[in-house]
Amino acid sequence: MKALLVLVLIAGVAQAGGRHCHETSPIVGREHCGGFGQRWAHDAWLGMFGYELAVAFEDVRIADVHETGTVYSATSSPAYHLTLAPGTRRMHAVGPRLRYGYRGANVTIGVEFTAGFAIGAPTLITNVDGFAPLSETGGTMFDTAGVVGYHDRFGALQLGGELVVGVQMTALNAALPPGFTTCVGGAIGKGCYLAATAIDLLVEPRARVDWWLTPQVTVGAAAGIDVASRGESATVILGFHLSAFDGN
Amino acid sequence: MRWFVLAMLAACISPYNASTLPPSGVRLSCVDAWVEATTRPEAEGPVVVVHVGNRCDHSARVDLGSLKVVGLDEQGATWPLSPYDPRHEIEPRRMDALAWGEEWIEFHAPVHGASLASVDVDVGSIEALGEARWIRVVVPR
Repeated sequence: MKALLVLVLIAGVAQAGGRHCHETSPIVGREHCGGFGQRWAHDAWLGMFGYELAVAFEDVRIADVHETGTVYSATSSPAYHLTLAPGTRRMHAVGPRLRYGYRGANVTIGVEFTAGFAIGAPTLITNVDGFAPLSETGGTMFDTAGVVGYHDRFGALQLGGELVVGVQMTALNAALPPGFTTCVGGAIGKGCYLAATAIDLLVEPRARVDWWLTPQVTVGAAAGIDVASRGESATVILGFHLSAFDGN
Repeated sequence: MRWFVLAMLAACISPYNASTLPPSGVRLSCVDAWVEATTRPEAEGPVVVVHVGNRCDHSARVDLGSLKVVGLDEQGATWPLSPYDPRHEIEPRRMDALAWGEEWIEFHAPVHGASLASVDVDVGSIEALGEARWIRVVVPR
């Protein structure tokens, strides 16, 4: 999906700017390559090509974990049971957020991807039959969501609200005794490591403030509450915009 | 990566500098405008080059379709001129904050072959409710 979006964006740029056309006249109605307003008027499609670099801090509620199954070594295949240790049920994660879509004078429509790496997470206890309990703290999360938003500018200050709807995947790392994996024979590789994963609905209204450093560059911050999973997020954002003030 | 590079380049786009408005130019509420007249071999009438720059920190509406242009021949007779716009492209457009650029518009007199020495252009008409601001420019031979 991500690759497809990038291809669409690149194709748009290529179509707009990659044609080799020999212009024979600068006069309206006699131009072959360009058109009226091309040299000075606002192009709404440029809103597709803004770019935001963001760092997100997420506070995610972790549901109780009660997971059972079988793990493997070269010689045995005991059962395991995953549980959360008493204490916090929240994971704090930090990571990059990428957004693709349209950003116009007042409206934002797009999709965003957030990856988070735990800086604080519940402790996961692994009980493997015949072994002492093992504990592990750590995890990752990944959000995929659609965004719609409205914003307005007051001088250099821009205020807005966004609604983010998507899914949030969390994975808590789990420890296993040496030589054990989740693959038959104790094989190692992708998908052979034990983790407690969950996928939850993400519905997050956000408040957002941006400051226009130049007509094409913003710094901003956003904060939201995930009303579906009771999480929270805070983000700092550096934005690049092809149209001055997004055409506002 | 290409669109990212484009976005980065956008950060370096030079904004309109209002101090570049020539003495013959006109300062409207947000838009600065000045005009030149020229001739082109492919054109059948004088070509008015309209330069526009938005000095405001917000977008502005520019309506070059409302441009009033009157031609004067060597005998002093005046001719209302109409733009050559076979594709019906000339329409009101929004101009980004601090954007600038130019448009080359060919004008035709109602009578073919009128030899125009100069044109009067009301650049105030490009902004809604703008006062008339006439600029006279000589059509080069």
